[in-house]
Amino acid sequence: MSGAGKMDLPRIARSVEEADPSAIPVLVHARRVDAFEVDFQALSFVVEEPLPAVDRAVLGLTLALGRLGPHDVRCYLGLGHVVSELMLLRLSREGLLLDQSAGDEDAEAVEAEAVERLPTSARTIERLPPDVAHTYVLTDMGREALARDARRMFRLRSCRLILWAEPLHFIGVAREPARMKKRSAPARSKPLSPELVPKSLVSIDDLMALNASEREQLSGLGEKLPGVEGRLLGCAPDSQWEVRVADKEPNSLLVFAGYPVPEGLEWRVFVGSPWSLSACPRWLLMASHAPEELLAPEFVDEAVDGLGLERAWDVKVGGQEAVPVLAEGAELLRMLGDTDRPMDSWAPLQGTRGGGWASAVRVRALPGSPASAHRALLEFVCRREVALLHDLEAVVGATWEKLGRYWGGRDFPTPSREWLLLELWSRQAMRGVVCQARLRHDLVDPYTGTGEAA
Amino acid sequence: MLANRIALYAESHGLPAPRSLEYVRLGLVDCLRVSGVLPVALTGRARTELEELGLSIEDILNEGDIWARVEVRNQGPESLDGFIREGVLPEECSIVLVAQRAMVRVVPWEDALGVVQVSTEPPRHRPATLLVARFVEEEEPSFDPLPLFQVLANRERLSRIASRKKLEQEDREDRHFLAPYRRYVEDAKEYLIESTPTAPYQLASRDPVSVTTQGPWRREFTIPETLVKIPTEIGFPRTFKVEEVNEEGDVLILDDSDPDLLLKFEGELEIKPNTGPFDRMLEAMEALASGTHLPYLTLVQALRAPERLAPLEPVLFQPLWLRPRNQESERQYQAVETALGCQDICLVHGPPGTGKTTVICELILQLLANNQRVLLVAPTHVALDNVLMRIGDAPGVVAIRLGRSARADERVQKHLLPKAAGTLGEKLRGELDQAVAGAPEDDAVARVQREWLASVNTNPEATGSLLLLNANLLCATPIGIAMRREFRDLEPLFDVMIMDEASKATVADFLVPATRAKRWILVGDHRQLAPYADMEELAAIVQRAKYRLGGKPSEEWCQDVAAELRKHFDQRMHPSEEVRRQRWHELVETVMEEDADLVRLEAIPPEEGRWHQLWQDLKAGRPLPEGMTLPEEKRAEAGRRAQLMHELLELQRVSMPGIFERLLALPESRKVRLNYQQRMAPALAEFSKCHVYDKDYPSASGTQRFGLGDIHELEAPSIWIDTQLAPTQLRYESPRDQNWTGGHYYNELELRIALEVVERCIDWGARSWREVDAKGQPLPLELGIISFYGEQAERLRKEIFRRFAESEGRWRRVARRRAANGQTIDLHVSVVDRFQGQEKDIVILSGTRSNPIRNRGHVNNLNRLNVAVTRARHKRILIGDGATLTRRDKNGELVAGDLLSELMRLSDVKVRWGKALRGETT
Repeated sequence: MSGAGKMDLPRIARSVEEADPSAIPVLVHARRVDAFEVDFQALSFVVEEPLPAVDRAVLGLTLALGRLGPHDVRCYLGLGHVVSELMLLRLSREGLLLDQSAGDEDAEAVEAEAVERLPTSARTIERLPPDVAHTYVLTDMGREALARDARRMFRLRSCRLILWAEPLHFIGVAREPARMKKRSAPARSKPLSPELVPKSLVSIDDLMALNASEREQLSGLGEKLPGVEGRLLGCAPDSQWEVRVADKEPNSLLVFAGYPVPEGLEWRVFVGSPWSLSACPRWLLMASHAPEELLAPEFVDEAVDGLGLERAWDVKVGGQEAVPVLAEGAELLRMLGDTDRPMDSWAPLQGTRGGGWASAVRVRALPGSPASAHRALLEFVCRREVALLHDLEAVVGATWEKLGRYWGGRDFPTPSREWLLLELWSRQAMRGVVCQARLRHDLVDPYTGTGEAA
Repeated sequence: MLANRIALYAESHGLPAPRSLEYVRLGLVDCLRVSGVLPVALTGRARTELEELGLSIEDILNEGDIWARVEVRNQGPESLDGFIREGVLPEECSIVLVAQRAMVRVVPWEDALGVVQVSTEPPRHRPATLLVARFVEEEEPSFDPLPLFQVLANRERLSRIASRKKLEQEDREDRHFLAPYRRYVEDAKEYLIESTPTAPYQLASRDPVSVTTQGPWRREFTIPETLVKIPTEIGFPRTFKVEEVNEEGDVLILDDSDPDLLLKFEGELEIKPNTGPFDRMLEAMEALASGTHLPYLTLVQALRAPERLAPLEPVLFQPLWLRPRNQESERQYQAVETALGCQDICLVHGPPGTGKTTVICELILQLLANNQRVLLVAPTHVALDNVLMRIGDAPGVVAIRLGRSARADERVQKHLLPKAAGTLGEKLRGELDQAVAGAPEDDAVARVQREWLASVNTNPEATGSLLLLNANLLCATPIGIAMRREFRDLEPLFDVMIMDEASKATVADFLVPATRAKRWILVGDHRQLAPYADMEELAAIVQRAKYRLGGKPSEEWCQDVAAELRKHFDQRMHPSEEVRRQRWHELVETVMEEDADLVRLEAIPPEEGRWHQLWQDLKAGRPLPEGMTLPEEKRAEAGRRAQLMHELLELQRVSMPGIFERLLALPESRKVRLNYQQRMAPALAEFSKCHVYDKDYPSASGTQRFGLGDIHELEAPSIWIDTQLAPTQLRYESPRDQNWTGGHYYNELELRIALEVVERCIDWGARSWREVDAKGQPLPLELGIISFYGEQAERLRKEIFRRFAESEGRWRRVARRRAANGQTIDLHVSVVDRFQGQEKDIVILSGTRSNPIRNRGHVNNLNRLNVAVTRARHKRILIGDGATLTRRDKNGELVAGDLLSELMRLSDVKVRWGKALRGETT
């Protein structure tokens, strides 16, 4: 099993939000899962295609006559001597007709013996004696093809599938990269010897033997494989497979995301790469591969305790999108993000849990003191330089209000105008703003209505 | 994949291990899967041992992995061979099951596996087979232990003779072998994408639209389905698809016509390259490297190490096409016997006129008689047509030819898919119309007939698909087959692929159709010309190699290197060591940019491995090979150049030789060389017999009648009109630059002589040509006028057609006068390199080279000369300057062993022939 390695949990959490924008998770657990390339010698597919007109004619003729031979195809359909023979041979190879002289001993052949030649008064194109050596009858498949005007062609294809073993999950069909490394021989790793192959892949033929919906429920491997024509039926009988580690497979991330609901957390599963995840419907099966404590509702409380941050107040996450925590100074600013409005952030928990799981919790950073709140205000104000040049007071007022709302109405004293100006002056880039504010305050406002009103 | 490789190995060693036997089957590689449960029963001893351990047998056997092996007490594994063969289990045979906590030995009982021993002692070797099973302690009356013993014994034997390590090594070697081919195709594809997509054009025809350019079209223009934009008189351009290029490579035939005369007659056209053929090649190589089908593994092994394939047993047959077996047809019989006995790959080597097509016809008829589906592939259309003309209508043959009508011979047009489908559709419509007229409404068969008639009437594709689905002989060019939707899947749908002219197809060309078949029969002659190589493409690949290894090469240098690389390859079979050495020297000198110190490295032979080793040695500071010195400051540069040379030699190996040449190392039993030539007068075959085919090229008795000895002053079959006595200002080639290496050579005097010869032949034909074919039908008189150089051919074409020809056609026309038998006199002008596969009654050959430094250029090339001198049935008239082309010793005698001198020795030399040589105007 892969270790957690270095995982960019904030990025993963963002991918979760992109994959399912309907809600915002409060907790994510992620784990890298070993992917395997399973090379199947032969997978069986059924390809359905319209019945070619000539096949329909020959099958229809067989149905009408009960049994027929190459002469009948010649006489009634006008196909030449050789084509008639080749045609019947091919249709019997494809399982649509049964050659009665082939000596099959199966039930269908025995049944076919009983098919009688039916009379017809149709006119022939040429006159030939009836066939004795070779006669053909319709098989069930041929009858079905005729009824549906489509034939089912069974195709065996060797395929290379990418799968996770634990949990068993279908990732995709392996393809050679479009531009492989050209200057060296394209080496493939050796197949794993049986003792190194995960149990679920040693007996993957059991999975393949299930019907498509069961198989899909268990592993995500349905009847359609991307880029492969036809419906997957399963492993061809007696075919073999070999397993290699797919060490360069980017889709090796299993993510559990917890969404706050009144009763605690609701879990959803995502799979893919850190940059692109997709929702996976098989939660229960996936969950069986995660330690129980990760999914327990108490985990969030323990996780927050482990963050080394002081809880803002004793809240349960139910119904909340983030866990409020107290922070000071630079840490507070970091957690509030670097945009022009405060944002929740993802705090990765230290270390990994059993099985290589790494977790992150969504936190909302609240200032631990008025001074921190003022520094946050100053920081966010400075991010709106253009607006500041126009109206410092309005920007400061709006930002302070926005921060207050974000912090859940926590009440901090408003910083003085003088303090703010001094702090802005200390930043080289903000001196223009201060000058502009002074100009307005000292030389413009006193002579305008604003000044008089003031 | 390894599973396929194991199966192939087993089959090739007569060990087709059962893939399943009742309840046991193979699964994951090195595993056996058991359906249901395996019943076990305990002996008293085992019960005691288990009690001592405090475990139950189910605990032991159902916990963790179980590794199994079958063995005979006190005997080696060979003791199981008899059991495998005859199915009688030896005495004291048991299965050892190694579990996590104990080793358990079981023997066959009637209704269970009897546990006779349980031991905690670890085994010396862990068995190689993982048994995936569930065990229960009970007796099962219907249980038969034998299948488990049989499958395990088979696996034991297989693993004894084929270690997994060895098979994995083979897998790596296969991939390694294919890698350079893949790189080459990738490089060529990149070049195609990046190459300049415009060229000047002139319309050659408007229906279908055909365009010419200056000289032959570059390869990127000639790939089928390439999109071409041609400017119109009304402003915006029209887009066409390339259907194909003519044999001479200078006329592009597009997929539509221009009935409203909107296209500009000349201008600049644009292309959007089609990478499809390269993609098909890459797909084929990937499938081969992965071994997705068993035949693919055989194919890669045959290509990688042809000498290691097992000998094969020929299969006797009753001829359907060949004439009775006699000394002259003996090899043809042997070739068919070998091909019929071949379960994978074999070669038929056919020198000119030895009956390759006859052998192919017989082989196809034999295969079709056995209900096999055959894919006939050839890089040239004429090769396909030759076969189809003979057996396309034979009983039991349903033949379809893929490709455009413009390139197919008139006589095989009916086999082209659209035409064949159209003809069949028409026939069916007529017959079915009559059959259904007045037929009872309620009769089921009549209803089917009516429906079938409606399909034929409303859906013309119905008959096309009928033919494609049911044809037992499909004929196509190598890439043509993979461009059809029906054959896009990489599946061996055909039982046998026969490739004619296989010496003209590269390995990459061959692989595309080869992946559609299970067996491969290649017919060709590596002593003729190798596949065409696009020099611009080669130069671009050389440039990439140089960039990669450091340095910014000039375009000119890259072109020079590409040209030298090709010349070096072209002379690989030249009998003269001196000629071959000179070519190698020229190549090294060009690559080393004439640095005298680096050029001394030419002492290292042209072998990839040796240059790679030199690069490694220089990099590691190891001493140079004995006798070689290099200034210290040049070691780094020499290392880079050695690596470049290694890559160039690899490029040469991958891009230039034909697949036929690659497979020459097959065991003797897989190759048959046809010998009796039936094409030409014995005197014409003499040169190739003595200097190309080791004297094993006798002439059949029927060839004695060839020769046309009654053409005045041209009586002998082999004639050399020698211009050496003509004044130099008349006889020398043009352009006459300082070093006589101008490139596009032509020779005015030879042109004038050729005109006289053609006139003489036409006069004679009009008076005396009365040949008939085997059925008594009169035959046309065919004249071939060929040159070794394109410019000379172009001038010959213009002048000969102006004076003697009528009708349309860029390189082939009909003479104004008719032959004495009422048939046409056909004139076909060409260059030698495009003339392979052709045969004519009379061939006039212009040597072109004539200069004071006696530079013979590429005339002095074994393969090219062999093609040039074996095209004529009755008469070959070479026009050339003996002083330039031949070599004489100090006694004035022609030098023995020198190719052109030998050719002159075998010819009737005429130094005063015709008006041109006497200084008169023609």
